[in-house]
Amino acid sequence: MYETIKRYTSAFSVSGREKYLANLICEELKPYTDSIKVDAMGNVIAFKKGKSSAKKLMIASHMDEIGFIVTAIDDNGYVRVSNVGGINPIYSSYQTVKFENGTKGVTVIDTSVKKDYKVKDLVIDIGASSKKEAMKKVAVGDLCAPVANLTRLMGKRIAAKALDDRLGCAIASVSCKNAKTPAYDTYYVFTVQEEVGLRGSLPAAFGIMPDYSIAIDVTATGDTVGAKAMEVKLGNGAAIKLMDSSVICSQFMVDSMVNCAKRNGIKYQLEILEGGGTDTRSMQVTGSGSHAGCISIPTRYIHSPVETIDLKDAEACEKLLTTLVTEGIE
Amino acid sequence: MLKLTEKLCNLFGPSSYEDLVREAIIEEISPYCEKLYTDKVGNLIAFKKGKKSVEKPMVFSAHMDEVGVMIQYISDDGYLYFDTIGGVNNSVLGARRLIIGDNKILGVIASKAVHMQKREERGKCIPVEEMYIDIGCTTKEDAEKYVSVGDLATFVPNFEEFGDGFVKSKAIDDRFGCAVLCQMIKEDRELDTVFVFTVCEETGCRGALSAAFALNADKAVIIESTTAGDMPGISEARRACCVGKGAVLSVMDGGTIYDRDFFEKAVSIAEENDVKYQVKTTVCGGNEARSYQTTGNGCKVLAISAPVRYIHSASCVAKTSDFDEVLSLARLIADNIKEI
Amino acid sequence: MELFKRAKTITEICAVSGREHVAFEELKERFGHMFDEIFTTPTGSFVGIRRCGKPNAKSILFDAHLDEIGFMVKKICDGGFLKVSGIGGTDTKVLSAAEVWIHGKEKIAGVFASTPPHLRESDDNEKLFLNDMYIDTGMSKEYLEENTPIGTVVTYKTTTEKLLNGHIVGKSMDDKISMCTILEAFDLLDGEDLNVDIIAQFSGGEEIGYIGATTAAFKAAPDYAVAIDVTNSYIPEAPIRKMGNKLGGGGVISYSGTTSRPFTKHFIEVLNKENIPHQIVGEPGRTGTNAHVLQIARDGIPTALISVPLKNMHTQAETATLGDLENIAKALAALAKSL
Repeated sequence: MYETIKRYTSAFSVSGREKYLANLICEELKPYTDSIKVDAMGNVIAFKKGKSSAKKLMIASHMDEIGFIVTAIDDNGYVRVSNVGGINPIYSSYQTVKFENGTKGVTVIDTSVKKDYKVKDLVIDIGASSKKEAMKKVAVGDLCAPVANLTRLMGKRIAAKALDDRLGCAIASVSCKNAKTPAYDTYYVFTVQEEVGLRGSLPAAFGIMPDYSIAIDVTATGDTVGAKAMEVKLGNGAAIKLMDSSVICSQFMVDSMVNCAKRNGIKYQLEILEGGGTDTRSMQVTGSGSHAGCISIPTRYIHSPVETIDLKDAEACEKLLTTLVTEGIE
Repeated sequence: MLKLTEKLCNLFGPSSYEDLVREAIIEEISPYCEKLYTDKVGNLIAFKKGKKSVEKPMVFSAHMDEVGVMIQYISDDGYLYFDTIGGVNNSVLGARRLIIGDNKILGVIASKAVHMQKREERGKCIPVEEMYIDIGCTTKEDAEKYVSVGDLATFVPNFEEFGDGFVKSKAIDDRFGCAVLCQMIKEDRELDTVFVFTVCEETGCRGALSAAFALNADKAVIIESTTAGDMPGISEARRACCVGKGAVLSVMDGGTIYDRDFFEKAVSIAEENDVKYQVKTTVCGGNEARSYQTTGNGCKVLAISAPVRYIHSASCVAKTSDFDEVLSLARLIADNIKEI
Repeated sequence: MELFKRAKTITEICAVSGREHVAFEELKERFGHMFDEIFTTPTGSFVGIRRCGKPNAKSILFDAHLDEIGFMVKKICDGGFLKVSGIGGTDTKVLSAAEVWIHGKEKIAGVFASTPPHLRESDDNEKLFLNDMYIDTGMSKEYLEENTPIGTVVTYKTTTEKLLNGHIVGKSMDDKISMCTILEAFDLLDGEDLNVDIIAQFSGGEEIGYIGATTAAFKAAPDYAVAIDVTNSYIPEAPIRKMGNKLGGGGVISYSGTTSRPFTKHFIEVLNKENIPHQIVGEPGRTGTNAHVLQIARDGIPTALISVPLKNMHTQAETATLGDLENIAKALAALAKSL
């Protein structure tokens, strides 16, 4: 699991440019699937034939991460950017970022702004001394994101950028390898453009028309300093989602997950996330709809470069997913 | 006593319209007291002979009235505009149902839909002067057939046992006190005692003024309901008292500094007899003790209250075990204290 | 069934968005006999179809949403208090001391805690939001952990009653009284010779983004659709442009940029011909109802919107009139007959 997380967080994969990670995943999972393809939008769809083809199960984790898009380069060579996905300027300032072509830069805040920072107050210094020099490396429309920075904390925890949702991808990927024979025809889908409005999972779900669907994504915790009332804690196991601002999970899926976790002694907790959306919604409402649920990985400081998780939780999530896939949804 | 509390809570009786409550109490207690009369302002006064007679009997007092609203204006659209009678906070009025006037018309306090509110209006409670009641009439003429300016209204009766040993109702303040007095009248008492059911407490402890003047007692015990702030979001220091921790004894509130000797005697009686009690921890609110204390020759006063959450709302919450503790303590004081 | 009784029965059903399936059994039992076929969907919709018996008949779908706003338990606190999240657009300013049902393993009553005015630190008009509010249950924390775990649904606790002049008051009139109008229309059409199949769609998840209507209409695939919802009618503090929309004036038909203008026109013509009272409003945008998602389901479904005038929306004191319900039922029946 740790190695997979490390590999996935190292790949460049800002929303809209997920092809590097997509290729990596395709290559890795090919031996474990009946078919694997990339659809028109860029979603990776890995198919495993089930014992029964009466029902279809779709699993979604998103490959994209938030980042910046270059909007202009000023005369002094500073790169001006706009956000791709939900950027918090405080979380994203004074970081080293990397462009698709490998160019590095640092994010700084306009020093004349004293509070209420907006994304427009962020600029990227790539070390260029003029517009001309900068334009050799960077063009308008280029994407960038923080450099890979995996840190192990106390052995059991990890802080890194983009665990939202590379961790979900890693869990799905490991599960795809571990789930020898799924109960139903199962589609492990690695989606694109989740961070800009759940865009990739919608056509993917329409193509599959699942009966059951499960998203794997991160969720906030109630154990950070100054957190709002929320029962989810780091280290307390896989979080079974009840609701977030985009979806109320199907009671049927929630019950199935809870029972599965209880039956197999998998540590779990129930989750209500106020704010934040997931691919669960698009899978729930595509076509005539599916029973949709979400396994969430408790994560602190989401959308910062130091998203922090507990490996034990990630393992519990993987075990829960794999068991659901192989034992079926009841 | 719980049955009687329920019956009394469910009656219509905003300040100045205590008639229905008074009638119910008369029916309840008339066989058990020696003398029973209604005074000029509407207070109901009962004399109960004890096994021993005393020169200056102790007075027990509870108020019959409850908070509510009064209709002030009927608009051309048939809506009723109102002001509160007694201290009702605007936050507990929105979307509440009311029983209005002699005709007992059902109405609801209207509330501009969340969809029509501007962002800055969200979550903001409307001031009382901007609220109005909808009774289903669309013209002034039609509304006037059912309701008149000056009509009183209270929350819809809703007494219910609730949770683990709790009750929920409108008007627990102070129909509970009335029920305690009724219960004491029904029992045999050691000493002569006077019981007063007052009017218009919520509009300024007014009924008690007349009763206190007429009775000229030297010891008065007020049986009340008092605000319990034991809920999350209120610091321990500001909770005043807690539901489930027994009868509340006051040292000082917004209207009265209670007689220290009387208070200490009550505490020692409670201690000796294992009555669960608590001392109110904040100086707030007030009750008719202030009327008894300062009228005529003055009088030593004590307040024993039941802790009640969300007082002056449509859904006050109280614990029945506290009711029992208040009754026990009141009985002991009535039967054991001759002089202070 | 008498109209008030039906309205009372339906509005007293508790079906919060995302958890509508709890009402399916009751709906089937009470109204199942009115349909030839029934299906339900994972997104909380209950759909009943009555066939006209003619080959290759077209179909018209009447949609009203089954779900209502409510709350979900998110934390269990010491002292028997619960903290909740809102589901749908709850109006927090009317919650202080409001009564609720907590639909745990055992259904229990609760009261939204209300800080007493004299213990409040700020002035009277402070704003009330769910983050600062708690529900008092009078139960122990242990009991709550067992009986009302995180995820337990909470609804307003109230009954539906009559006011004067045919006005009625209750919770979740939005949008269960519209379900009532559809059922009334089905009664009116009982035994009529129709050229279209009629479909009653009681959709889930309207308050959380129209999800039930989107998916159920995809499955039912009708040729026409009418959304029946509620609309904020004129009150003294509403803008003047709302004045044309009053309780008692009949169903409110919307011309909208997100529904079918020709179909709406046809609807209005039918009502004029049959002398059925109605009101007309202009709502350029998405109307905040299922109409806009029905219109774009599959390859497009010509959709019209008719609404029940309502006051105090999203509170426990939603107010409507029985006369409007009757007129809308007549309107729907007339429309079905006209096709």
